[in-house]
Amino acid sequence: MNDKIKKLTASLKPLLYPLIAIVVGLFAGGIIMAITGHDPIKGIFGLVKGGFFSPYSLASTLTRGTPVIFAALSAALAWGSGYSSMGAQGQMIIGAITAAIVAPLINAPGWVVVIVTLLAAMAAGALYSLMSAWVSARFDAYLLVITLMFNYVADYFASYLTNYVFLDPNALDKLAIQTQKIENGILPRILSRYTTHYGFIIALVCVALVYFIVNKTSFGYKTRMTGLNASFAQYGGIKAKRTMYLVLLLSGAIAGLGGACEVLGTKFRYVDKMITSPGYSWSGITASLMSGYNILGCLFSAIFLAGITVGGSVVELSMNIPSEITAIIQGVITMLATARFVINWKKKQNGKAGEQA
Amino acid sequence: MILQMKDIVKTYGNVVANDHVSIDLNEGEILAIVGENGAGKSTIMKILYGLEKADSGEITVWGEKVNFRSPIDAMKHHIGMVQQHFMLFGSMTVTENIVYNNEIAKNGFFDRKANREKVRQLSEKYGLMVDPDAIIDDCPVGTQQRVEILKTLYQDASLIIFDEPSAVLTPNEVDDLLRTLRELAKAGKSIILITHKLNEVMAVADRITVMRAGKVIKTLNRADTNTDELSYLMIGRHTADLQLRPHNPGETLLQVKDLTMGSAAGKKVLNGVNLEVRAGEIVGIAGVSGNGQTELVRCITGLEREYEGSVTVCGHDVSNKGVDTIRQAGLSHIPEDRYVWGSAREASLSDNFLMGEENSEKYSRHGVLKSKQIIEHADKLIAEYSVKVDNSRQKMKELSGGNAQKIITAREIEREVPLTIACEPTRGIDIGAMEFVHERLVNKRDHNGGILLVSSELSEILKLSDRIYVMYNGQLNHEFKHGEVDERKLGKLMLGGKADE
Repeated sequence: MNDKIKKLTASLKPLLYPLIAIVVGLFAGGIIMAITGHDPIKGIFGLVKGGFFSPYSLASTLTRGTPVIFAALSAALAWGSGYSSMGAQGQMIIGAITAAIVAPLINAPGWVVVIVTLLAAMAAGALYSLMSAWVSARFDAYLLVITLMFNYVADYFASYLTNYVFLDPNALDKLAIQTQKIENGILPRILSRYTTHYGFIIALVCVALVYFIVNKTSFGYKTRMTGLNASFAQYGGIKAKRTMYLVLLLSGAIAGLGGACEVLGTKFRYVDKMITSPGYSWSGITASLMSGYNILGCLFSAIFLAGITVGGSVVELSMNIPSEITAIIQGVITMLATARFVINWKKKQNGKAGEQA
Repeated sequence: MILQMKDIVKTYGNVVANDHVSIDLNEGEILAIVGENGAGKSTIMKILYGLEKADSGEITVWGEKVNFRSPIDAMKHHIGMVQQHFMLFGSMTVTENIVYNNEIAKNGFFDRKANREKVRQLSEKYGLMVDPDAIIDDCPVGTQQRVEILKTLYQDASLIIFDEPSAVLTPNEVDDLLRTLRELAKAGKSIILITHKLNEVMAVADRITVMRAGKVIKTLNRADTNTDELSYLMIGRHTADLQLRPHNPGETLLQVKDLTMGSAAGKKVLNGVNLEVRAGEIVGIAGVSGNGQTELVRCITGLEREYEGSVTVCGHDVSNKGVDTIRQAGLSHIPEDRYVWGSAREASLSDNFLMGEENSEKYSRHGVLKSKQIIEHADKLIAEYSVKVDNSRQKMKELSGGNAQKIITAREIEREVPLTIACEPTRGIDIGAMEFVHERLVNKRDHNGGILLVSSELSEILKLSDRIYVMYNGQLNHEFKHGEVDERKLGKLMLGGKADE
């Protein structure tokens, strides 16, 4: 019995830090509200309520959360293996534009179109991720910087394709930069009243799959050990390059899938900046940092971050609090998550020194 | 009596580190405190030096009841400590390090000449020869230790604590150190020596306090005791005398031919190394660290692939091959640094046990890990090596250094492969566990395994090795059979001396 309690508390321990980060983040948001002349208690309460406590707001949160979950999984996989890839955004864009181009080309029953489109988007995301990995390895450049640059390339490349090759000629708004609407082969809503679509279910399946891969397979073992101590992995005979390419391939495929789900589930076409401006991938990376690359933690963190964004727009409408408040809260949480990163790193350094003392 | 510590109690959580420990010291005396790792000897000294605070108990120094809050208090009461790992500024001179915090100044500026003169006088007075202008990083470890001692003397310490001072020294440097300790005592300094090396204790101590599991077991006069009695008191049982049974070595398991490796500076780190390990023998490599042992092991195990010459493991030519291929050929490897190479501190024990076997049929199937077998294997090794943990889900970082070493040693010795490269397999583990590891190594040898043992602990090399090579300056110069050589002679050869000197 005692042992069970111990096990339980040990398994809850990873949740402690994200909770502290959330509380401090909300607190900071409250201070800003107070400074700008709003009632912080009402504001924070409204924020949380607006994000979670009605069927409609919960559905909006899960809709927004879907791409964030994919981005968080993609980042957690890469970062947890010690590869600091910021490439989720670019890979999502590539996945999204691929989906928007491929889906209209297929003449088949809807579900076939969906499957083929999603697979194509995954392949495109994976390939794009491998390209950045190759550039990083070949020219001995920081993966972090390379992937960031690749994000810009993806964004403008997709803009170009939308503007000059696949522009929707029937758009009512002649200034809209968007591709043709996908009529056959979309991800339907789970309940017709709410926006949450089957992409969310696919995201949950991905969470389960990635959890299994990371924790229960030889490959996952290799990625975890590489992330925790690359020298130890090398000593044990784990091939660093191969592990890196496989991890980044998988990470890119998940991001690509996330982009495609957003196209097939909410927009039904590629709209310029549809991935960049909502900041899906940044929320995703924050979620993975918050949870310390814990896969289940990623799921909850991603939904939470999506929730405060939705709540942010609710309080903007109802209380006239600027929705940028959400960005501040997320910023503080990111800062705390990154700080933990630094603390852990410092501890490792001190641990080494302590071992010698 | 200049120091009296009475009924000191110190607990960490629910671990009692010091259980009513009493220690006293006379002027000009050398008191040795001996005990295994975790016996509480470092704790009691940390309390005396003001690094830790006792829960209860009394400390009297020179007749005055004291309660130190920091080492600064201890220094004010003329107590100094030479730590196991030196607290020196590597890029500064010997003089600057010794006078630090108490410099002689002239018009507010550091008076180089006066400070140097002061250091020179001090070093002559106690026969601790140092070059006052040398940069610390350029000094050998023995010299750095002398600087540490001079530092305490400069701070006017009359009671000096030495924490495992010989752990980092070569045999010849140890001789110098022991001589220094005697000189200091003769000059009226009182000394407390913490160690677990009994031959050193027998060479210099006046009295010996034995600690075990946080308690003082007994305090004896050196003249009335011997190493057997001391080790019995330390461990609480008699140690088995390990004897290498005569054994005929079989086929060659490891063959290294003309191994040569350069460094970035163009110097040859390995220079034509030839060696072989056969089934059923332990081959020891003795040497001062930094003479190429690390690089030799890196080449053999595949961590280093840029070298000339050939390496053959169990009949497979693995020259310039990677770690994976070489491990497959039949080799396991206890690395010299348990945290840099040997483990992942943030990973669970069972994950740490799995390393190198994650693809084997025993622990995985179609790429899916067999969790049950992995946990069973981990639990079995934890029990066999009596590692002090609750369960195999615990993280490596929660273990003490000695227990962490046991995990790594167990993983590699118990792997079902013919050849084991063992680097410092007993570093930092207590005598009982050390004996056990030695038994397992010898057991592997008796079952026709081959072991290459690289250790800075000469007694370990001498005790276990069927054959011994001496490594100096990137070369294996001398080869001896078991019993043909003693510690003194090896020590000389390790420093580049000739065999017939």
